[in-house]
Amino acid sequence: MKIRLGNPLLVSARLEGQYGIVREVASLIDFNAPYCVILRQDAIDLGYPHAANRHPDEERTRPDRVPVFTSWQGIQRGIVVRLNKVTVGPVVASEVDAVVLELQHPRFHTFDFVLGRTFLANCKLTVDVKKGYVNMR
Amino acid sequence: MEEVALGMFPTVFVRMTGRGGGVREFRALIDPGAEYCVIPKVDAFFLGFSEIANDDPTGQASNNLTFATYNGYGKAISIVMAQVELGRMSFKKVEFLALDIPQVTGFDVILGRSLLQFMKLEFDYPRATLRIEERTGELKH
Amino acid sequence: MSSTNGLSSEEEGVPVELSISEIRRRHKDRWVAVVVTKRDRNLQPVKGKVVAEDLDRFLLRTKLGAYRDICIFYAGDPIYLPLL
Repeated sequence: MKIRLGNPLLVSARLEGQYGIVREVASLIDFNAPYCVILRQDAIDLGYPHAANRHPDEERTRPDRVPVFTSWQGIQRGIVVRLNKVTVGPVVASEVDAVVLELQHPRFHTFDFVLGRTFLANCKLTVDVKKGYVNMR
Repeated sequence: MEEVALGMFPTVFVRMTGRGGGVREFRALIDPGAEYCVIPKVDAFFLGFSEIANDDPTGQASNNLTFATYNGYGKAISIVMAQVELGRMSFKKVEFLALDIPQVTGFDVILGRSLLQFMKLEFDYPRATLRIEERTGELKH
Repeated sequence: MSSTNGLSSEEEGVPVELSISEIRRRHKDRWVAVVVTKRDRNLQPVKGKVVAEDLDRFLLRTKLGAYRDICIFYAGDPIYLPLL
């Protein structure tokens, strides 16, 4: 799949959660993000009510679902949800871990999801900035 | 450049020469999603970019940029590195932002599209390898 | 190599040439400054001499005033995964 190299690098991704609920959202491709990133409301809508929990509460019962990250804001925690399927064009990945992190300025971002390495783990990506495309397969 | 191991993150050693001829070499994170390259402010200062030390809020440098990440906004000064060497490839006049990445990440330098525009990159996540090739020709928009 | 007082070069504070992997093992989770002595065919450092190291990257820089050409890196893995 050939993606035009825009700034930011956006594609449309179909997210399938629990009970067959699907959301199709604009997604940013991040080559180095360890997890995919999803908005809290989308995670709840897709059938993951524990995304609404506070981090300390979730950590008490399921510490494996609260990873710790470093970001520009410092040390942050997120809650992991396991999406049944994430599809970008012909590329499909199952059982994709995504972390719920609130975007700092959500109204100014043109995307609602970040595709990280939990999705890209099975992909081969070729980036050619001169020709202006990213090839994903 | 041939294949390098992808590891936890795609990194390579890169040598930078600044205005005064000073050289610093770093293990840099390769990030095609980043528009600019990033270097710590203290190293930019060492490499001859004294405008980094200007923190006067009333007299902002003309090369002061505001950038956006999905985690928030930030400001940094843009500088032009005299030379950047990555493996056997050498590039002149590469734009960097002087910005301190959180220390706990373990990285000082990020290589973004201001340098990667001269290369073709192949991320093979299943095989955990990264292939870097030099590209020639005009930049297409 | 020992001197007359029985100390090795490293114990006497003279930097010893080590492989990058050995440097990462000995100075784990610290920022190191290395003078590179050997490179592979991709000109990536293979061996070097550690001339300074510190837990803090900025304090490390204060020790590098004498070096015009130096290699700096973190000899460890990120404590927390970066999400920048």
